[in-house]
Amino acid sequence: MRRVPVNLTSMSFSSLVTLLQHRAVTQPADRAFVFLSDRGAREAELTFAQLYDRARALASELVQKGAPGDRALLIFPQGLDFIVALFGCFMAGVIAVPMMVPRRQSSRDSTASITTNCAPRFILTSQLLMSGQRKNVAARFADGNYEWIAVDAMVDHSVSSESSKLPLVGGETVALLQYTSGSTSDPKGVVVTHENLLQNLEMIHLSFGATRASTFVSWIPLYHDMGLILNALASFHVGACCVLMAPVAFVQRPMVWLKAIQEYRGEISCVPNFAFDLCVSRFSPEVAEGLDLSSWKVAVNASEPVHADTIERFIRTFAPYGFDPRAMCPFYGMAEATVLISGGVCGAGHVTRAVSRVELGNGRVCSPAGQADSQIFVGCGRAVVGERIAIVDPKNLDRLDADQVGEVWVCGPHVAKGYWRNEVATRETFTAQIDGDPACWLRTGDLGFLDDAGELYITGRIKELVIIRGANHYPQDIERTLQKVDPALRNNGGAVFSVSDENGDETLVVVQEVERVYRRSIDIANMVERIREAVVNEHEVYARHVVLIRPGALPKTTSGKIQRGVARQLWLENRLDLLTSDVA
Amino acid sequence: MTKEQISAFCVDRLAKLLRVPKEVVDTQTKFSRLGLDSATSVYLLMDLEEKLDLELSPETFYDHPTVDNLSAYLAAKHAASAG
Repeated sequence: MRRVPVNLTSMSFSSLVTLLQHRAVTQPADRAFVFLSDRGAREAELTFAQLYDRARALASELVQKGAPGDRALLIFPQGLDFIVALFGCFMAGVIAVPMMVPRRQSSRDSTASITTNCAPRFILTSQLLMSGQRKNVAARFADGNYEWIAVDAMVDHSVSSESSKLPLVGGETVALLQYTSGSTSDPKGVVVTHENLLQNLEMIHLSFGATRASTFVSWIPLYHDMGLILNALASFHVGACCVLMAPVAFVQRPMVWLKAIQEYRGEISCVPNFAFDLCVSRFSPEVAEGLDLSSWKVAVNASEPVHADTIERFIRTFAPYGFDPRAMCPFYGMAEATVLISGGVCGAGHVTRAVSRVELGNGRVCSPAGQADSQIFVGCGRAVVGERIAIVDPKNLDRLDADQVGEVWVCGPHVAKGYWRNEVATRETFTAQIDGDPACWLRTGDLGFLDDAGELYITGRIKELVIIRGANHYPQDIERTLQKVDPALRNNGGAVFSVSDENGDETLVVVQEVERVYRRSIDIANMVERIREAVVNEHEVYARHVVLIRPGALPKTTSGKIQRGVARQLWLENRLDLLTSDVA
Repeated sequence: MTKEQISAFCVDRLAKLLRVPKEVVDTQTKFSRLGLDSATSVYLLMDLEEKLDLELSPETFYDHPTVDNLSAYLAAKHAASAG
């Protein structure tokens, strides 16, 4: 029997600050967060009372040095200091801006554009990043005037009577900006209020059926909406314990994650599709000796396309170790809707649907004509109580019926108001309207359909976003990077897209025109290497296929816009006009 | 293991990870030029740790950026730990 959640708490709280106060009073000594080393040993922990005290002390400092509404960058290695910093910001009414630690080599990651867009007063970080070993972090911010605070250096957490008075934080107070790994030229920081958070956390609660006795286990980065909200805050919200580890620990040894679920009797863990594949590919009976996954009730698969065969392989491999196939729970979400948009119900398992590939190309969902025509989609759950999901024709904006493919639109109290200081993108994305419906809808940019029962299936994207291992890449960013490599590479003459490889994983393809004057003198092999190097340094992604083509061979619209979809099709059919090395 | 054996092992693993023929993996070309991203480099790191029974930091590839550099370094380290 599925447990019925009885602890519906959030509605009586106006913000995560009052929720933290409540937890610190009602369950002060319970563990809120545990952090594991890369080998799985317990390294640190925070009770709700400790979290409150440390966040309160930080909030006092923030209030003294700044004002409510100021922005604070949160730059931390995975760990508990991030959590303290986040709640410190919440209490001080300072807007938290979680960010990945800037990379050592990259000069064009999103750091600069995010900083320019949100104009932070504070940089909250750890002693290690601020000094010595990782000088690059401080160097990246050398030209600005910021208040730096090393959160782990604060030792006195006592709150004296002189402690600064904290501002009133309510539902409409902005809690955080979630930068959506947007294109570097056009950063998009989703403005998430406490009300958005509480509403979405309640939806997550209804899907997971978690209680304070549940345990969450997560290695997803805390600067990522899935790591932060779907795992860490969802756990905090119900008063459960969240066991955290570093992403690199998982990538190096996936079994450390599964063993942590076993050891802490983890019930809930949310990861992207590739994580399930990695566990299977790293599996051996020796390393899985004694593994027991029977405590795992909700295994969420989200944040990149969900593959049916991934789920099947994982179940086949780990069912003998107690993994319950019904725990598999595909979700769909995005930062613009706080995080969760649709989800399955705890313990119901996943559903799949075979559709005709040919008819899908025409926007229709029908049974396949045969094996070759069959494409299998995994359902991403249904709309959760409190929200609406619509499928809309992206061209004429008409609402579509069940089993018709269109853009996924969402409406509800978890949908953010917009992007921080980006009116154009806000208007395009957050203010869509459907005829005869007064509500404002969020345009997700994803394509999909709803079936008769309301199950949502995602079939593709309108935006030419490339998603590899859960990270979003904008083609135009990668194209700009590689066109700077050499003057032989024509500006606005490249197309970057992804294709499925032999295992069904997305891999990157780069197609680039070579300027006419260079086309006979160019060393193709060397140029390909230099392109790969630039792409991996700036974007951390392997450009598996790099092809150089003759000038003018790239498909463009009459107005000169690159047609990446057409280029992709031509590449797949081997019909691009390649520059070959035998041109003398 | 000798430098040559380690080098051959690296080339073999890199060819598989990058899905290219072995001949393409030049031992004097920087890993970044081959297109090795940090997530993929972790796989090679794990394979080497297992093969050589050594603990390696993810910075290893940064400090020894080609197969030649890396295998020379690892051969020395391996000999030291064995001896």
